[in-house]
Amino acid sequence: MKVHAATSNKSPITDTSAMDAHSSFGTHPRLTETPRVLLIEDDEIFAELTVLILAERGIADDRTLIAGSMAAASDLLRSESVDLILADLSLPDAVGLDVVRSCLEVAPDLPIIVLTACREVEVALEALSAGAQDYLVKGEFNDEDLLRAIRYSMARAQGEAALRATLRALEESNHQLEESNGQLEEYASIASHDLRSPVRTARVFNGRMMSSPTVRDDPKLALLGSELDGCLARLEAMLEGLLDYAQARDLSSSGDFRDEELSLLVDETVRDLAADLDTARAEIALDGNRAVRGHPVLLRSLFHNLVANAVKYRSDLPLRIVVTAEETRDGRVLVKVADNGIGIELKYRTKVFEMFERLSSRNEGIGLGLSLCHRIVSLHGGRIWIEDGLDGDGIAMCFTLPGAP
Amino acid sequence: MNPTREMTAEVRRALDERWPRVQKAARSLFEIIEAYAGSGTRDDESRIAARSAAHKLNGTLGTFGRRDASTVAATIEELLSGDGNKVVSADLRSLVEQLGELIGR
Repeated sequence: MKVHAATSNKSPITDTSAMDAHSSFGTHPRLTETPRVLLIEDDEIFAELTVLILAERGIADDRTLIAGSMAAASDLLRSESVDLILADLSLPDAVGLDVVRSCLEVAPDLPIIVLTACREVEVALEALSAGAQDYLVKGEFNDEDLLRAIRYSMARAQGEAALRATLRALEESNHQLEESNGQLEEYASIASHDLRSPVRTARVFNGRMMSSPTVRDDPKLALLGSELDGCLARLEAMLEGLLDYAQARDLSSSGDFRDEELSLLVDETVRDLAADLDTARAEIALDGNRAVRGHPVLLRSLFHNLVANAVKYRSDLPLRIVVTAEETRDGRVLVKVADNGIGIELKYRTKVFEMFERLSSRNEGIGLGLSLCHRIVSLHGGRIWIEDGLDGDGIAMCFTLPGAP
Repeated sequence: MNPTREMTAEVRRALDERWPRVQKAARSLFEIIEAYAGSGTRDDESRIAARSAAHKLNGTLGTFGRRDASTVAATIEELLSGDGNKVVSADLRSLVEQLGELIGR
């Protein structure tokens, strides 16, 4: 089997107008830029005929490379510039899908058209799944079929290559974005951590000033001192919240997940918030205990924030909180924390998960609680949303968490 | 099997010029099949060689638009693809005879 040497190294065809222009007898569409074909075929006669057909249709025979075995083809693919592979699926050293796989191993981006016997059509279809662009049944295709297959295979391969390049660029952008987010989080974490100390110190000094006779006995100064303390308290809470928010990713990526019973999480939350719940004359019920899998600190923070939120935004009625849990079809646990509080209008039910969003004029929150809940649920691969609460009042914070295996 | 599509006129002419030479090669391939069909032996090596010859004839004859001959070659190839012991000699001989006539032995 001879191997033809390359004469030039043009780029693959791109223009399909020539094919469409073909109509009259005796004229054939010519490829505007001639692709270099590697024909992998051990049948010398068939190879010769194929080269002849290609030559008659504008793909010069001195550009076409021929390999009689997979080994020879691999060598040529490594050493020569090729635009397209035409491969027989019955070679002395490779058969069926192995031919396609071997080609793709050496030249993953090259379009492959497999040449197959009639009885191998099923294999040909598998070859398409394995990465071949098209197939032709030997003895059943004419020159038009061959040319069309070449043209379309190359166009598809070019499209796929462009898509792969776009995907790579997107992945790179995502990576950069993640890095950038990570740096921002790190900055937020360090800044909030480092700012907490001077803010606390300022509150202590302000407290001392307020307790001094000069300030205590002057109503104006006392009021200013009190307002300053309120500002510093909110700043401190904000820094705590930012720190929690920034640290959530670190905790979740630590991989220190474990199974947690919802009943335990609810009990602990009730103990932690006992005084506030007492003030709110609250009743908490759990309906349907389930075990979830997650980071213990983050899960506690999630329940703490949700119940504390229900306390903050309660109505004048005694607060009722009902926690329900059920398994979803995909093996997760759907938890709903429903209350009878003041509720959230439908149009704000997405907005409240954004950072520093506060819908109430009450001053209890800093607008980080629900965004932290959103983050925690997201870091556990779940989703969080708001539905109507108990008896048409209040809200139900609904979220999914991984179920315990 | 799908109907074999005719080559366009220019290509057909170029192929026809090659036919005398290809016909010689086709006869050589046919002889391999004929030898296997005529021999009493059913050894695997001969069967694989005959099957390979039928495979090549199938593609080549189809390329020349000789659909009948190509179809017979494909049937022989199919027949020789299974277990050698199950090849029915009478069927094979009949097909080989048919193929010989079609390629102008």
